[in-house]
Amino acid sequence: MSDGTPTRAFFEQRVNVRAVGLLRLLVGLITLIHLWPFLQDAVPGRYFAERFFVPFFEWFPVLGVEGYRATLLVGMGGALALAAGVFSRAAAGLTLAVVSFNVLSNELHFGHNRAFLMTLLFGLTVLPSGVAFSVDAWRVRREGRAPDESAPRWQLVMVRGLACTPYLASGFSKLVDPDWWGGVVMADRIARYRHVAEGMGVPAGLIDPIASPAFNAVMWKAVVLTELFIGAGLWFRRTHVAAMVAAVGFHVLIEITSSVSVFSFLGLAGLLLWVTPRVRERVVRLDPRDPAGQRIARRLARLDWLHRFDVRPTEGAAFVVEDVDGFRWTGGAAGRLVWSRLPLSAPFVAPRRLVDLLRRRSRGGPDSRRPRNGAVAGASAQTQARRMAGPKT
Amino acid sequence: MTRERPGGKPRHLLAALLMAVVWGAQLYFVVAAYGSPHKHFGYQPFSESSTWEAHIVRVTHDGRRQDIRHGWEGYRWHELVRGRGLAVPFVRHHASYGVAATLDYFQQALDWVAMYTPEDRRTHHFEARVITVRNAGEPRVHQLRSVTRPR
Repeated sequence: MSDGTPTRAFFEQRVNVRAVGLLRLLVGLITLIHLWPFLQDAVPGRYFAERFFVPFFEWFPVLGVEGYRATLLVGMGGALALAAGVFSRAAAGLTLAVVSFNVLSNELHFGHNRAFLMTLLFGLTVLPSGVAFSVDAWRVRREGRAPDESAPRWQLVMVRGLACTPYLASGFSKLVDPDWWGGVVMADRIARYRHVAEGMGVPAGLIDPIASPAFNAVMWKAVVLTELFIGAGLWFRRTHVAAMVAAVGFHVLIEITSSVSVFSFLGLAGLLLWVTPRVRERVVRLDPRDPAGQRIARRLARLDWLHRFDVRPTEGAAFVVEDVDGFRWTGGAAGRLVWSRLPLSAPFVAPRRLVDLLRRRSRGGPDSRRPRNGAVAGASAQTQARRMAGPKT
Repeated sequence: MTRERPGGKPRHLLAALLMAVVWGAQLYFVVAAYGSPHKHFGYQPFSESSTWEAHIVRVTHDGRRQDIRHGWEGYRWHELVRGRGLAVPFVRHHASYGVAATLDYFQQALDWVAMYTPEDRRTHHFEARVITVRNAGEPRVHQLRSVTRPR
C-alpha cells in the first residue's frame, strides 16, 4: 500500500491461493472425465464432422479424424499434467486450448457445464495454481525453498467474478421469466418425468406433493432466490458460510435430479475459489499430553490441507479455537469450527457450524460465550475435545 | 497471509484493463443471451420445459412427398444428425435448449442433410412440419424447408 489509496492497495496486495492448488487438481481430473467420451468416440474413428455439425465460426479449422484424435490426446495429457501440477500454468493453458477448440469446433458440443469448465481453466491459467498439491511445489521444496503460495489479489477477484456468474446469470434469467418464476417450467417437467420417478420406485405419496401447484409456486421461487443468494452471498463475510452451504446443497440437489454432465463436480470444486485467501488465521490450543489433544493435532496435520489452523500445543490447556476476531470457541462449537474448515468434512459440518454462527450473532449460545478474564468458556472442554477427536485410531 | 509487492502505475492500469476486458466479455455474453436462441456462455440452463416433434418428408424432382422416418436411398436420419435431441425428431421430446434453439438447429440440420447426401439423386428438397409446445402452452406448428439439393 505504497501511497495508501485503496485502488493501489487492491492491485498490490497479494493473497494466499493454496486452495487454488486443490482446485487445480480437481479440475484436472474433471477435465479428464469431460474429454473421455469424445476420445472414446474418436479412437474407433467416429467423428463429429462426419455428421451434421455447426462450427461456431465459418473460418474455424475442421481437423481430420486423426488430427482430432491427436488433439484430444494432447488435451488428456494436459489435464493429467494439470491434475498432477506439472508446469501447472502451462498445463492449464494447454488444457483450456483443447477444451475450447473442441467446444468451438461444433456448437452441438456446447453446454453450460463446458462453459464453466472453460472459465475455471481460464482461472487456473491466470492464477498460480501449482503452489500446492503439485509436482511443481514438490520441486521447489526439494530445492530447499518454500513454495510461494501468494498471488495478486486482483487476479483472484477477477476469477471469482467469473465463477459467480453462473449463479447470478441463471438466477436472474429465471427471476425475469414469468414461466420460471411462476413454477410453470418445473411443474411441466415434473409432470412429464413423473413416470420415470415412478419407474425408479419413488412412491406416489412423495411425488404427489412435489407435483402439486402449491409446491411448484413456492419451491422454484426459493430455488431462484437461492441461486442469486449464492452468487451474491459468496462475496460478503457475513453471508460467506451460508452461501457456501447453500451452494453445496444446490449442486447436490441438481446432481440428484438432473443430468448436467460435470457441472455439479465443477460447481463444488469451484467453491475452493471462495476459501478465505489467508492461512493459519485460527489458533487451535490443545494439551499435547492429553491423548484427545494428540489425536486432534494428528488429524489436523493430516487433514488441514488448506492450512486453516495454527496448532499450538500448550501444556494443561483445554481444547480452544481462537477465531479470526479473537473469539474463543470451546467445546462442541470449537470442534465443529475445525471440521467445517477441513475440505473432506466441510460439506457435512458447515450447516451445523452455520447454526453456531447464528447463535453467536443473535445471543451467544452455550458453546460460544466469550470467556471472561481469558478463561475458557464451557465446563466440559476436555470432554468435548475427546468427542472432537473421535475414536482412537 | 497477505503481503504486498511494489508495482508501478502502468502495471496497475494493465491489470485493471485486463479485469475490465474479462468481466466485460462475460457480461456481454450474459446480456447477449437474452437476444440469442442459443444463449451461449450466457448461463441460462433449464430455461424451458418445452417439447417438440417433427415430421420430415423429402420432395422428389417429380413432386412426390415421401416420409423419411424409415430411411431413404440408404440414408437414415439418426445416422446423419445427432446431438441436442435432433436425432429423434419423429417423437415428441424435450427441447433441452429451448424451442428457438431447436428450430434453428433443426433448420440447419435439414440444410446439411440436403447438401451432404450425394447418393440420393431423386430428392429435390426436404420439408418438415414441426410442432412445438413452449412451457406447457398451446402447440404451434412451424413449416421448414431445406435448401434445394445440388443436382
